[in-house]
Amino acid sequence: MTALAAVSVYLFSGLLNLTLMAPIAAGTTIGALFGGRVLNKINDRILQILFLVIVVYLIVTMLYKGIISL
Amino acid sequence: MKLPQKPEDKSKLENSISYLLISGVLLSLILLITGMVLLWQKQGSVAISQDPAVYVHGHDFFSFIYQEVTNGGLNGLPLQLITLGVVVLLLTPYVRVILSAVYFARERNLKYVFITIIVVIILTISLTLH
Repeated sequence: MTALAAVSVYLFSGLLNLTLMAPIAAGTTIGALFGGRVLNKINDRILQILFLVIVVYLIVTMLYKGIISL
Repeated sequence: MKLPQKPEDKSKLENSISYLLISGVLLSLILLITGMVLLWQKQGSVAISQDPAVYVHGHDFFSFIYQEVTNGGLNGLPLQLITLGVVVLLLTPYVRVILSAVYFARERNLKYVFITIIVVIILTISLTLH
């Protein structure tokens, strides 16, 4: 509900990019539905390693995109 | 003395709220994914676009919905579907608040009916005043 009030400001200021927003909304929804079910069944150690891999991948891609756009 | 409530009736309303939330999210997810697939077929990529057509504008949320449903196809079907997905996603919590006001009214919980109606008024004002 608080997010609804906040997003309406962006919506009416014309700051909501549909091509940016659609993959984020779809991805977070599927991730939340799927992640909530998987979280109870997965081993803590595997979760830590998975998180590390994803964060390292994000760091590398962000650095790469930042460097090639210089 | 408080009368004991029927448990089936209470869980029925709680179930209807949970069904509303799930169906709202799933409907918007279907609309968003369909719109994205159609956009991908049309343009060949789903990269972030800076085209002015992908930025949605509106003055008042309710007139925005009306305008989007009646002649939102001006920018093509994919963008209309994505916009409708956004609209459904935004309407879900709004309808949920109204439904919970009905729920508390059925429970005769006046304090919470009062609080929920204030929340509905604040949400309506924030969605209307633009």
